[in-house]
Amino acid sequence: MEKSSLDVVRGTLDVLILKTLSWGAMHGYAISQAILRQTDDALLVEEGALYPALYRMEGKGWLEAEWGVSENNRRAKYYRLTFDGRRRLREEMKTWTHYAEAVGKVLGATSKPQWEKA
Amino acid sequence: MRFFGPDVGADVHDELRFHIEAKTSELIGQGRSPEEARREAMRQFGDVAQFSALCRSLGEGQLRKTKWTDRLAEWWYDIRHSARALRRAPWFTVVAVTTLAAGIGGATSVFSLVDAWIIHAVRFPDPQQLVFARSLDTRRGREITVSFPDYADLRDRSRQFQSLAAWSFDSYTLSLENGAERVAGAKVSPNFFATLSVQPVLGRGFIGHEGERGRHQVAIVSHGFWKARLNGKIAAIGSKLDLDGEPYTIVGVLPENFHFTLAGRVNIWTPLAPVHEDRTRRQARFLQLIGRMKPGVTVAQARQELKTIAGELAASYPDSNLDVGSFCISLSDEVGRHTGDQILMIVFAVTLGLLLIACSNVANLLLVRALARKRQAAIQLSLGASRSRLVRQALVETLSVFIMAAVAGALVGWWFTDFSTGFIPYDNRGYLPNYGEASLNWTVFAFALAIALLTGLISGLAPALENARTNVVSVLKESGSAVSQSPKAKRLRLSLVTAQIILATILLSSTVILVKGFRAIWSAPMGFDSSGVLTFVLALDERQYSDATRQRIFFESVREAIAIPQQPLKPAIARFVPFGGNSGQTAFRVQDQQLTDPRRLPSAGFNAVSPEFFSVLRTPVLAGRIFESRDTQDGPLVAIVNDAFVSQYLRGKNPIGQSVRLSRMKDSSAEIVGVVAEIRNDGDPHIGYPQIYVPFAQEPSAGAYLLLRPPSNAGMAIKPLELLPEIRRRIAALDPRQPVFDAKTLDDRLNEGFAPFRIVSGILVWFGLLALGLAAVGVYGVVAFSISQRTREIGIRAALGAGKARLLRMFLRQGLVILAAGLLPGLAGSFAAGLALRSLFEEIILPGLVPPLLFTAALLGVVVLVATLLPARKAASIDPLMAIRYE
Repeated sequence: MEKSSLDVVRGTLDVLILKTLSWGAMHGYAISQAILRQTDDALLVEEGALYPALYRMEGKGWLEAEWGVSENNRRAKYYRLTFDGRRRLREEMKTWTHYAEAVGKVLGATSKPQWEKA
Repeated sequence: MRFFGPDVGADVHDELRFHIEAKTSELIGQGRSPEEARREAMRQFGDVAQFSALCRSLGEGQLRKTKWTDRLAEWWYDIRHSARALRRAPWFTVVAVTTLAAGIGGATSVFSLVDAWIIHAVRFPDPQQLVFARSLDTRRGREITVSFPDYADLRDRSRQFQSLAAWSFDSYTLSLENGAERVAGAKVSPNFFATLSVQPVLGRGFIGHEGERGRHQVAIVSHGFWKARLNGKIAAIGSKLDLDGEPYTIVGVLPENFHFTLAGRVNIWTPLAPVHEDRTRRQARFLQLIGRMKPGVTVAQARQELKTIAGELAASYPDSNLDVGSFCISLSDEVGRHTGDQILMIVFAVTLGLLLIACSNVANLLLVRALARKRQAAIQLSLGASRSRLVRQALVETLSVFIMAAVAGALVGWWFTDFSTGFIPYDNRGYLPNYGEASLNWTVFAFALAIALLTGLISGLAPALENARTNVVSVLKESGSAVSQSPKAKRLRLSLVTAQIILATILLSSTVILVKGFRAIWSAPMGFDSSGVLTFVLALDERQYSDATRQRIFFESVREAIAIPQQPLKPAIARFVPFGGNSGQTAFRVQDQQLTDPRRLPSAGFNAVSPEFFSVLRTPVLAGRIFESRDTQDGPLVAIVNDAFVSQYLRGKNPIGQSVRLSRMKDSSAEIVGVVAEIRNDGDPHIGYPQIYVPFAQEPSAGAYLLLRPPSNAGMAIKPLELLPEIRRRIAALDPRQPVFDAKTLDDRLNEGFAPFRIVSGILVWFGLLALGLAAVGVYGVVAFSISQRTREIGIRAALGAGKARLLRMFLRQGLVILAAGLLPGLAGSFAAGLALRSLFEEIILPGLVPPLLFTAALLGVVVLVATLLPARKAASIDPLMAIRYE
């Protein structure tokens, strides 16, 4: 399927969020902290971009949100994966793995590939 | 907790702010200054406004989408969930629904009576302008009817009225081809229907000159009569009716919904055209008045004016009007007096009290249920349910109970209305608004719904909110499934039960007072034995039977004709009969007695009776003799008086042989030959009314009652009404044009007189018992529940050696505390209520307040004690080991 570059970025952010939440329910700040740490500040240009993504995914039914109380007793909105969200995560991971394998195969070729002789 | 729907904008704002503040704190922790940290956090976050707007629109879009499909699904789930929960707790559901249904049903039923008989009682245009008026015997304070000359003067001299009309009851012999019949009618002044602003639906009303003798032979008929007897044909207008032997032309037909309740079931209306004597004699009082006041005039002003005019008449005509005043109240008040508005409102108040008790019972049940589900609620919360959802579920459950109760209650109410109004005798119905009917209409339905919702909110909201406030952790930490109640809930339950006892005390004591008072009305000595006596009226055509002799002869031949051979006691003839709806009066003067004021003669009840009268009625004869066949028109005038007469006017003398002059018998003097017990003529419980009787042979009349008592030989009692066809036949054999009518047993007449009191007493007794039952259930519930809460404690105490008696005493004390807390303010309230009832019902002799209060206190005490002992006994016999291990 053709994806524009914006979709690619979006899709990446989505799967990162899904994976992060697979470790447990978190509020938005904790999610951004986790992604930043794990990707070594590589991917998240603006922290605020997280939130429209979260809302979008909630709309799609992959996430569920509920207000709760944070560690320092402040009111915070917690997100967690739904059943559909977990399924989406598995699908996305398969897609990414296949994609990475495929790209890896091309990029990892040590010798010029044998194309069909004209 | 956002109940009416989330506020997306505020949520987004809070969420993003949290992030930025968390970031700021972290940066401060890394060593930056607060302002720097904040700036850096904002920079790293990005364009807050843009992200905020994006999130907001996304959020609101989602909200709209989930709004109705998901919400609907949520509600549907909640409904199914509640249904399941209610089914799993059948006792709770059944008790709650029946308790509420009883309360709602009772309230709805009584309110439908209030709606039909009080709110919509007078159905004429501008009813607030209509008043009812009569004359007043100022010496006795009794209302009396009005004479025609007095009416004419009141009408002509008054300025406050648009029109003043007069009417009187009457009945006519309607002669048809195949016989004669008696119909109820009324004579009205020509402006009567105009005063009520009623237009005949066919034809016209009366014209002024039709009030003159000779031009009065016109009639207006009721809608029912026109439909049934004249086939609803337009040609009925102009046709003739033979009334009392004279042809009357029908000129109008009244609308179908026309009902002048004060006259009862009237089918034929004719103009008031008195004969010359009645037109001029001010002592001939037989009219009642209704008037329509001019706009803006108050009843008080009208009353004052009539009083003034009456005073003028008293001054101008002292012989007839010296002690005659006037009486005037609004028409709706007068109708209300007949309907018993006050009593009805009291019953309504009692019903609402019952409803309150029922509600508090259900509130208690709901609180217990909320308590039982506390643990479940905590688990649900920890699994992620939202608090608002929990509250909603609890409310849906409560609402289901209430909807079921409302439906059941409406059905109960409908049935109960039918049931209780079914006891109203047919004749009484004519005088009740809407003919005694009170059906379930939309107003009543709306009322029932409102009541159900209100009670639902009152009883259901508190426990629902209580549940939502549970602190999950602390609840889950409690061991065992016996969750303890918060002190607040405990206090609420106890105060509910106490309130129930207070209400029940006031209700019960008021019921006892009223019922005792009512019983006195019908159980006081009547002065006669009403069982098995048949009565009917013969009203002779005055043209055929114009003089006393012809009347007397006819009645005596009737008496012979209908005498039963096995019965030595012949039928009695009487001008008036007890509970016949009217009674006679005469002024009198005891011979040789000085009067304080020669113009003011005392008056007594009057009746002309045949010799068998007192024997048929089985009235005790206290002295002398009763009339005999030798007391004829040729002999000296004799009279019989009652004991009240003797004690008031012949004190210290031997009544036999005394002479008394009777104004009704043209001032002739009669010799007293006997004394009988007082005969009660109507529902008035007061006794001590002097009565005088003369022989019918010496004072016959064209209309009289016949009374007979069929024999009851050895178990085979003949039903009096079964004799009627034969009686009609025999009288018709004597003269077919004189119909028999108003045939009833004396018991029927008594029932009509007492029916309202009997019905209301019945209703009050039922409601009182219900209140008692509900209060008992309430107390039982509280005690049983507290026992279940303290099961462990009981086990420990028992294991430590507390005997059964000791444990019982412990719980008994709790019950007594509840009783005392409720009884003392309850008795105080009852006392106040009793005083209020006393002042409201002056005509009814209400009993002393102390005995009913003591009775109520004792009754409640016993009931509460039993309700306490029952669960306590069970508790005291618990196996201590099991109790301690109770989880």
